[in-house]
Amino acid sequence: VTTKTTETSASDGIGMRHLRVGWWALLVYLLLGLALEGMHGFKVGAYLDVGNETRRLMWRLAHAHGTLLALVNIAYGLTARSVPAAMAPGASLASPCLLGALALIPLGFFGGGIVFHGADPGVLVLLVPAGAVALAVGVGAVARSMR
Amino acid sequence: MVLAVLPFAWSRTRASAPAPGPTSAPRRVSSGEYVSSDACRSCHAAEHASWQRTYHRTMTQLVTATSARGPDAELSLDGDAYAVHRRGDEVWATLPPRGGMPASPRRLELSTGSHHYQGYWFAGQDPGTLQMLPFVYVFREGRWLPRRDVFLQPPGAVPHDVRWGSGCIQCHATAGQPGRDPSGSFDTRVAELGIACEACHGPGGDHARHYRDPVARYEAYARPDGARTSDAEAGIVNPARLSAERGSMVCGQCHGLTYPKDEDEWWRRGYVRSFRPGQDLRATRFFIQDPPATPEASPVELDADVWSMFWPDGTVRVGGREYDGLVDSACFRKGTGARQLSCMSCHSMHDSDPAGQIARDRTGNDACLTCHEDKRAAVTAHTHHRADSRGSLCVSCHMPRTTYALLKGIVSHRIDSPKVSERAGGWTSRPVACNLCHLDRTLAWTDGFLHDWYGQPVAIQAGERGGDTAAGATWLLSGDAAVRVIAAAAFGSVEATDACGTGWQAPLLARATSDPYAAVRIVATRSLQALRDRGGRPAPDPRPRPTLDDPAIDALVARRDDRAISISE
Repeated sequence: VTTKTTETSASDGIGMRHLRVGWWALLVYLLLGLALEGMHGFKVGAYLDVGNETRRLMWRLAHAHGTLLALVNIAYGLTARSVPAAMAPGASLASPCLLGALALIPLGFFGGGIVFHGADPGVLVLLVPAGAVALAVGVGAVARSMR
Repeated sequence: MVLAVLPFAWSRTRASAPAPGPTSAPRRVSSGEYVSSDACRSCHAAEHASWQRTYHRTMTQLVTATSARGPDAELSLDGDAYAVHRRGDEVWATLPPRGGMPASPRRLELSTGSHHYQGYWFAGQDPGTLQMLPFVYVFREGRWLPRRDVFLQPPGAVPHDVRWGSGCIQCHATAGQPGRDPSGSFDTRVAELGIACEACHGPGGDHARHYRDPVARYEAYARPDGARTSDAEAGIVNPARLSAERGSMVCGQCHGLTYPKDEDEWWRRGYVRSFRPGQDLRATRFFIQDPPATPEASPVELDADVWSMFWPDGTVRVGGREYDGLVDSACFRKGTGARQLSCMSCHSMHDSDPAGQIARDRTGNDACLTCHEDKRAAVTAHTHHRADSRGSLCVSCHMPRTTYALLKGIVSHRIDSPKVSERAGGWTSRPVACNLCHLDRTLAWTDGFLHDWYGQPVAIQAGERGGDTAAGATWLLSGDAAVRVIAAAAFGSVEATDACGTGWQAPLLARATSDPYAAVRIVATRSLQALRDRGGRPAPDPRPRPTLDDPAIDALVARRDDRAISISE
């Protein structure tokens, strides 16, 4: 009973962390979307000029991926709280990987659009593949735990 | 069932479409060395977009119902009837009967010109040749005009029998190869129609292939700006990073009067194999500048018309050949390093208004003041004109509109100072900048001010020819055709209206509208209209003008220099 209670409180704690991070991230990336729309509204050249197409693409990707990954983290938080199997020892990588993906992928896209070279994003975009790997590992771990 | 119906539907579609005409348009060869602007766009979107806005891009286009600016029209020339009409997305011209052949419709395949007027080409008799329609569509008037009239050429002169592949291809396309064979047929190829990226930056094939590798790209980003480490990178040239001499040669390949040193090679492959941006133009071309005292002394035998393109002092006077003027300028000849004038000192292809392409940060006097900084704080002391007036713009005095093309006066790119002493020799001399605004004043008047203000020696003594007649009037009615057309344009300029008001020019311009040269008539008519549109403006200088009554005008016309002048631009 004690072990089960401990597992439950651990999954509650992890689940709560993902819910907290997910909802805050969702707020941040929705606000980023609002900012991007504002730049459209005010025709900000640094975002809309044809020479800044790369920045526009990168920041849109940051907004889209950030929002989506925030939802993924919320979904994982709910899963952790309602399906204890998701917290099995084999799925221990899921939480850090999903949190890492949430940080790395949108940051990589956003940073890659701050300084860029023609059609090539800046070097911070290298965070994106690292985040993509983390995301794949995290999602894979959760999926495996559901067998 | 479907399969049975399809061929019928196909044949119906084919039958309802206009019959395709024979095509002699140049073949677009976009492989290997030259890869076209499409390949540049994926990495250089901003530069591609800014180039898209330029008149260079649309200098030559395939004719479609929308790219052709001239509307459908019934036209007449020397009693022959012509017609231009659209068929679907094609544009066709009906030409008059020739040599027993009935009037024939020809598809217009190419257009040349993008800013002022558009000329049109159709398939000629020899395979691969394109001949020009004898009409052009002039944007300003919104009218079709005979081609012979928009060029400055003597009345009755037959326009050159131009073929696109033997002249225009050199500059109005990228990497043009005439492909002429001894039979007179052409297999003309271009990398791209119009003046595209590779015309100025060199062929981009190696560059594009090299930079498909992302590691190569990011490695280049990490290096100091402009550093090159491989042939593939060096293959692409940024004219702004070349020396003033070599950078200007990039523009000079088209904006200079040149003639190929190896004529046979040019007829086959143009300059595609022999010249790359960044190289010395003189290795492949003779420059026809500062003409020798006699045409016979030229390294090549040139058409007499070529010599019409220079002022007696050797300054080029045909527009579009600005390189010739530049290299004759002290700012180029005496400048060194970063202080040597180049085309890029004032112009930018990618950061400028398409009309004139003056770099955004080099408008007004800014280009000149980067070197002549001492003049910035003392503009009026130098110009003796109000600081906010056109008389205080460097170009007004040092780059007057003394070159001609496209039915207008264009600023001379031979940068120098107004001097009456060098121009008082006759009315075929290059007009003095001062009098291109102060048209109502005499050369003696100008001479006096240049003496008083700048210490120039007095060139015109009292009573001497030119001392008692308004210079503008004399140029307009007594000069040779090049002087007359430049004066006619000056009469309509805003600068001249500012300097000498309105209300006195009409009798002179009215006389110019009966000039023997059609181009002079057209330009004089434009100036008359411009003055009418501006309404009455008082002359800022209250001193009386020289008398310009009918007898005086008749006398000026009687002195007209009727030597034959041809400027076909």
